[in-house]
Amino acid sequence: MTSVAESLVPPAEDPVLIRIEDLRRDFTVGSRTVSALAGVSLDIRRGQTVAVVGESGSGKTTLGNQILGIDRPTSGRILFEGREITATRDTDMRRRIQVVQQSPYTTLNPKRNLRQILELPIAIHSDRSRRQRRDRVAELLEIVGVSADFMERYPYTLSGGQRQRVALARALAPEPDVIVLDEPTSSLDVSVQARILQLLVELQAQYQLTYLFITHDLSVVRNIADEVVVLYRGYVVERGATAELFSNPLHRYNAMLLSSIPVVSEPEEALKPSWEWDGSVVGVEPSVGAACPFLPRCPHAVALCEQGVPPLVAETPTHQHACRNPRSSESAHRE
Amino acid sequence: MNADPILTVEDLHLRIRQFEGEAHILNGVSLHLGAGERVALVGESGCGKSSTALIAMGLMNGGNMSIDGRVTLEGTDLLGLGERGWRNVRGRQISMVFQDPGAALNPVFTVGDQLVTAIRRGDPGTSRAEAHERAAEALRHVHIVDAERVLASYPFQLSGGLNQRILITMALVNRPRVVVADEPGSALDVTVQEQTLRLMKALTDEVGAAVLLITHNLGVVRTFAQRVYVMYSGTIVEEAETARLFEAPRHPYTQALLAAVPRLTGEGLPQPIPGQVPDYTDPPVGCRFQPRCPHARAACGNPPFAEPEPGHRVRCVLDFSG
Repeated sequence: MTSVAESLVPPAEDPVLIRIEDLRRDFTVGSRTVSALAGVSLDIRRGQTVAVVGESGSGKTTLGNQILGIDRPTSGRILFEGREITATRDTDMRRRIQVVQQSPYTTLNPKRNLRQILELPIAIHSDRSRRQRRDRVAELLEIVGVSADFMERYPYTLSGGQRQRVALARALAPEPDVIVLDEPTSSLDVSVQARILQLLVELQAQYQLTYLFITHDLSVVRNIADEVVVLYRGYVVERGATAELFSNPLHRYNAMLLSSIPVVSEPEEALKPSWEWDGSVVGVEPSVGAACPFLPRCPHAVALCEQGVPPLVAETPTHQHACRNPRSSESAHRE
Repeated sequence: MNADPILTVEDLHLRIRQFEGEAHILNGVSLHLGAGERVALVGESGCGKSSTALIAMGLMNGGNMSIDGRVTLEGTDLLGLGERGWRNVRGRQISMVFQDPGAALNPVFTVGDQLVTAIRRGDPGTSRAEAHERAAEALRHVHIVDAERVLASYPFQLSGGLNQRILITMALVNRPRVVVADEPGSALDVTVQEQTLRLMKALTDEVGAAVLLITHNLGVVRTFAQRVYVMYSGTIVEEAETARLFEAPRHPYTQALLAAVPRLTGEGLPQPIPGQVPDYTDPPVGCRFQPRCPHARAACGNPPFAEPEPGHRVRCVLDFSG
């Protein structure tokens, strides 16, 4: 258990900022209990970008909500700099963890102008005067690349990319340590997405930010994440240093995710693992918890897969997976 | 290579009168689809790709719009077609797969009701019972095992991937000649998108339908289409066989769009395209990409759609390759 909780991408000098221990969140749906998180352990080190990837329903947003304190776990603990923040957190603690959500069309209040939107977190988390708050709003807008002249504008006058910059400015306003980025670019065009990704990288360097980057699209995090955590139905099925996880996917689900990415060049195509798509995956029932959660969709399942949920095992010091028939051995023999 | 185009769009212009002035949304769009051919129309939000699709489906009309140009389906002029005429064309000879399967299916009718209606529309002689049988068969054909349960369900009771399959089935059930697919699967998970595209490919192949795929995703273009049109600000800026376009994109916009795609190979951050999409009420004169183009120069003007190599056409005065 403790070995699992240790962060994979070391530099030992980076202290652990957030430690998540065996976090579980159950939801009751009718008479059924669904575990959105089925015991997730994770360390996030200061200044790093940890990507959490998975399909809809994998629990990635639930994990983000736990870290934000929007939702409470059924069991497990969340520690921030060693302090437990699972159940309660004070204003300062809330200040230190901020969020940027997916759709900038629904997360900015349409009845407030940009100044009002950005002033609120400043007013809550600092004792700046009205004038100082206004100056800070102008400064924040400049930081994210929106003209301060837009201060009195309303969100509907902005493009999607500009709105997402404002959402980012709002997250930066209380000077946080951590920003949970929940699909921050998935509603944007690629050319705009590229700009937001660049901005995120610049801001991280400038303000020593720690990111939890939630996405369903692995390709987006290839170039910005230090570590990638793959979730499937509430379980961590693979995690590792980004380059390793992409070049050598071990869990079958990670292989499937990678092979589904539509790529634009031959070298990328060569990186994608092969996957048999022709099997029927429609109408699969969630597995009951006595077996590997991916079993109903996995064409590589063996008898062993039905014997309990596979634990995370380390393939290398920086790469873990929870697959009983991992891809490695076979891929080594390929060609 | 495609002797007789089945769908032809010629010099299409769309103008919309707005408070801000007249927006010139489509600025002379021409494209064609060969029988059974898979063609992509790729571009970013607001470039006019969906407007082009909606006009081809006869779904774009309004008092504040004017549409000029020619759209023909197997020789039939579609722009001159009235509502009555469209009833025999839409859903039978040309059909559409919409982006958001949750929004495209009617929430107050069961999937069965909607499929049966589509089937009987295409073949009015069919009884309800026969149509129901055909609907169930069609669903089993797209690997939906419990077809009867799905037919009795309302769209909101089913997953997005399942709804997408139903939409595709519905679009193809009358064996149309052309399917217009607007971002199929892009509202869904990548794994579901992959399966959606595979299914589209298999079914349209089987029926012999040509596909006009509207997408913003170059990766999707590469896996799905045989030929590509790249659109920017209401203009087709490049046309090529898919393999050729990815091998040697010629237009600076195509090159910039490719550079903006995040790569799995991890060679650094994707590159943004500087500047903004132009204002349609006051677009730049001549090449509309010029204000954002790293290669722009005085000689740019209004470039023709030249064909520097057979089958590869580009609207740029500079001769680019690679």
